[in-house]
Amino acid sequence: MSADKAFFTAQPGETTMISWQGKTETAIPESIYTELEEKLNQTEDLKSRKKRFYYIAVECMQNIIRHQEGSENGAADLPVKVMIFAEPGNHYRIVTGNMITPDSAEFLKNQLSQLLQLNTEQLHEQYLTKLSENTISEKGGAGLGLIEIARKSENNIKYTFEKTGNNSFFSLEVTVK
Amino acid sequence: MEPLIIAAGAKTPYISLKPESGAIEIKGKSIPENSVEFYQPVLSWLDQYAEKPLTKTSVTVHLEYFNTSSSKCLLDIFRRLEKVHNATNEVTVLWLFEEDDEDMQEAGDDYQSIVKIPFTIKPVE
Repeated sequence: MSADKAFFTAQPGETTMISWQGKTETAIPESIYTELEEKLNQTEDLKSRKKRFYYIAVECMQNIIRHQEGSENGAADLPVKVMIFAEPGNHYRIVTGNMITPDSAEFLKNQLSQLLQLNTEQLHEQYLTKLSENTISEKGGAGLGLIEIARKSENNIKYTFEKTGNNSFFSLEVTVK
Repeated sequence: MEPLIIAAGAKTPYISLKPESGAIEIKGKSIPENSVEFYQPVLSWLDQYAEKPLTKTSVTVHLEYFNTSSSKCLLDIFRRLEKVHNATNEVTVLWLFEEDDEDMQEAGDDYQSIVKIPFTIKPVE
């Protein structure tokens, strides 16, 4: 099984909390955020772990919107996936998958490999520096999402880029323990 | 100047800006995809308020969650209030967090370290 397929499969001990698949042009429905929050509320676990996971899940899902390939490049029908798995008392895991351009793939590869070399304290410093800078992208991104995903998950991040035609399918897996 | 009240949405917080009392409140969840669009009316209101502020402005922030896109907008709000805070006019921020929510407490500490407005960071049950 390839790495990205393994990401999207429940591992021993895990149950599937959310499984959603759409197309590039479909926004992730608001109901997913509500459903995840409700399911976490019903789960017996540390409140801090559930809260931190919800925060990361929101960033991961919104990260898709910021980096996805758009219909202007004929990619409107390409799949977007979100899977969330839970092993209460141990961990929560979110996996997102979406099609991105070679430029975005390059940007994400560089950013992720750089962030994964930093410790929590360095990530916090980078967060504060970026936060203080006065920039925000036209898609509403502030360059802070991946930093916070790395920091709050304590770098429990795995990713793959699978070349498909002119673009790449980007799979991102984040685990909160 | 008119008050600005925004009802809470599934992804957006309750916001109340009252010019007659100088009370500003942001409460709930702030996770919209495009926070810039959501917070624009708040920032415009603050620009207008800053022209003739009350001598005391008290800000209460009690957020359960906020995404990174909102974190920039919150900083923009504090930056505008920083301009109001001077020898004549006082701005105070009460940052509330649930008592076991260390991440939200730290977020308050982060803003306090960036902006020059007195913060009180306080846990609530």
